[in-house]
Amino acid sequence: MWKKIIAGLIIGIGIIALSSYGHAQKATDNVKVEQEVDLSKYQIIRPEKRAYSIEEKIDFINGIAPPGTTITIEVYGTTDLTRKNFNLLVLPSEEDYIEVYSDTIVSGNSGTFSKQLELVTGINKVIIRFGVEGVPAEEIIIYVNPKNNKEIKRPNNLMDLLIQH
Amino acid sequence: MKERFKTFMLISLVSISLLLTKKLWIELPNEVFNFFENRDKAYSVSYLLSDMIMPNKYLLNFNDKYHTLFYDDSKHGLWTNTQKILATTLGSDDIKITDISRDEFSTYNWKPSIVFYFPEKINTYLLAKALDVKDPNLIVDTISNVKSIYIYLGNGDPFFVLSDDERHKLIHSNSIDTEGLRQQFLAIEQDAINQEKGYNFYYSLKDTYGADKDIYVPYEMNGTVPIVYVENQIRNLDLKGKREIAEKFFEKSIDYIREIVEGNESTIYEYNNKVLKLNVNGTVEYYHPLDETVKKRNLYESLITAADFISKNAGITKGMYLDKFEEIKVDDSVGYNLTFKYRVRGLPVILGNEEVVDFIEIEVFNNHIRSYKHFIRKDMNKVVNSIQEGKKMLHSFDIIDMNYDLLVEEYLKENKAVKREEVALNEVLSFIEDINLSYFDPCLKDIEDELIPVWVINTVNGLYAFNVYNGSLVYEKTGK
Repeated sequence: MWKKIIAGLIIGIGIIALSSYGHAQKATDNVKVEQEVDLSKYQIIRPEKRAYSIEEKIDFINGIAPPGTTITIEVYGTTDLTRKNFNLLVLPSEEDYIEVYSDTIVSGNSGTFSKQLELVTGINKVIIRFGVEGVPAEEIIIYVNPKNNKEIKRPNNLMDLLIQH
Repeated sequence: MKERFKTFMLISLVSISLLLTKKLWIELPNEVFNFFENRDKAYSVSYLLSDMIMPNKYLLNFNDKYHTLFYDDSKHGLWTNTQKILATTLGSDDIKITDISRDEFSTYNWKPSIVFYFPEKINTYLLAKALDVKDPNLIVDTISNVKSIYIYLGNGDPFFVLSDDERHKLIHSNSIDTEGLRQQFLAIEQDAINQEKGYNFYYSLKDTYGADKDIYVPYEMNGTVPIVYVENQIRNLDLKGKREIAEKFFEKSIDYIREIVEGNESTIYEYNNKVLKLNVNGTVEYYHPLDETVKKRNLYESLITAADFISKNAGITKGMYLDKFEEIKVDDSVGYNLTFKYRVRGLPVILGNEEVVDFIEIEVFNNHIRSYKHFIRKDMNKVVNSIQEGKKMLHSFDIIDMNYDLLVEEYLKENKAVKREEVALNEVLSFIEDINLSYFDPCLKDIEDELIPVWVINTVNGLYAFNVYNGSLVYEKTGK
C-alpha cells in the first residue's frame, strides 16, 4: 500500500513539476518574441494625429524603421457617390473605400522613411505596413476639405495675358 | 509772294545747316544733361553694389505645412520687389523694434511669409546704402549684420524680421506696404499647391526629425538642373585679346605698356608701377602698391571702389555676388580683402581648382585697389537638351541618407566622447549647418567643361558636394 502511495506521489510531483516547467518555458518564449521586435524602432513621426483634416491634397508622412525595412504605404479614398457626406465624424465603411495607389519604400541608412502623399478630396485612409511580424500596421484618416480659392490679382504683364487667352 | 518764298527758303536752309552741324560738334543744353544721365548709368556703382548683395535662396512659407524654396529668383523677382519696401523701412522714422527669441522666430515660418537668406552675414548699413537709403535709421545700429530677412505676408500688419542667426529683430512700421508682393506670393502659392508648375515642397529638419536647426529640405523632387558648359575667359585668348585686356586695365594704349611673355605662355604687362599678369591657367592677377598709408578703413567706400573696378575690368558681373569680406592690414595701412563668387543660371558655382579658391579676390584700401585676382569661367550658353535623359534628380534628404555613415564619421570627429552606437539621428542632422543646390566646376578643361549639379552640405567640419543624380561625393573641403 505504502509503495503505491509513494509511487503515486512521485508521479504527481513529477507531473506538477513538469507542467510548471512547461509553463515557464512558454513564458520565456513569449519574452523572446517580444524582445525580437522592438516596437519603439518602428514609428510614425509625422503626422502626430491619426485622424485630422487638411485643405490641400498634398500631405507628408515620415517615420523611423531599421535600415532596409520594406514599408508599404497604401492610400484609399472614397468616391462618396452615395452622398453620405463623409467627414471625420461620419466615416465611410470598409466597402466605401477604393484603393488610390500603393507604394513601397525602403528605410535608408539613417533608419528613416518618408513619403509625400497625393490625396483625393474627401476621406482618405492611409495604411502603413512595416512588413515585420509583430509590428502592427498604422492607419491614418485624412479628410481633405478644400477651401475656396483666394481671390488673387495676378501680375498684369504681357506673358500672363497671353497665357490667359 | 516771291520775297516770302525766299525768306522761307532761307530759314529752311539755315535750320538744316544747324541740324547737320549739330551732328558734328554742337552740344545743346538738354543733351548736356542727357550726357550726365548716361554717365551716371554707366558708372552707377550703387546699382552694381545692390546686385552684389543678393540673397542666395528664397524660402516661401505658405502655412505651417507647405513651404517651397527657390535658388533662382529671376522668374519671380521677389527680391527686386522687396527691395523698395525694405529701403522705405530702413529709411523710415516711424519704426518699432522688438526682440524675439529663436524659438518664437522659428514658429514664424508657419505664417505666410518669405525669407531671404544671404550667403554670408551682410553689414546692415551697407545693405541700406546698396538700396539707396540716404539716411539709414536706427535699425542699422540695432542689428549691425543680417543673415536673413523675413517679411510677413499674412493678414494684419506686415512686418520684417532681420536676423543675424543669433539675434532676431522684429520691425513694425506704418510705411511697410506689401500688398503688391502679397498678391504675387498668393499667385505662387496657388500654383504650388495645385501642383501646376512643378514646385517642390520643402520641410524643416526641425519639424520632421527634431534637428536643432531650421533647415528646409525636399523629400520629393521634380525637374532637373540645366546642363551647363563653361570655358576659361582668359586661356582661349590670342595675343591681341590679351593686349586689349591690358589696355582696359591700365586705360592706356598698348604702345605705352611693357609686355613680357613668359616661357609657359603667361603674359605680364607693366605700366606706371602697376602690374598685370595673365596666367596660363586662366587667372588674371593685378597689383598696384599703395601710394600712401591708409589709416582708417571705410567699408562702403572700399566696396564702391571694388564695384567700379570689377565693372570696368572683370567683363562679367551678372550673377556675381559678394561672398565675404575680411579686415586686413598691410604695413601700416588698413583695408579689406573682398571675395566674390558667382552664379550660373541662378545657382552658385563651387570651383574644383586647387590653385584658385574664389572667383574674384580683391584687396582694397578705401579708394585704392592694391591687388586683384580673378578666375572667370563663362557660361558658353550651349544649346543642349536640358533634360538629362533617364536621370532622376535625388532630393537632398536622399543625399543625407545615402551618405549617413560619412556624416556620422564627421560628427564623431567633432564629438570624440560619443560612442558610435549612441549617435542619435537628430544629433547628426543638427550637425548640418546648411544644404544648398549648386554647380561644381571640376576645372578639367579650358573649354566645354560640363558643370556637375551638386547638393552641398555644410557641416561644422566643412563642406561636402554630392552629385544630385547619383549621390556620390565629388568634392569636399574640410577645416574651419
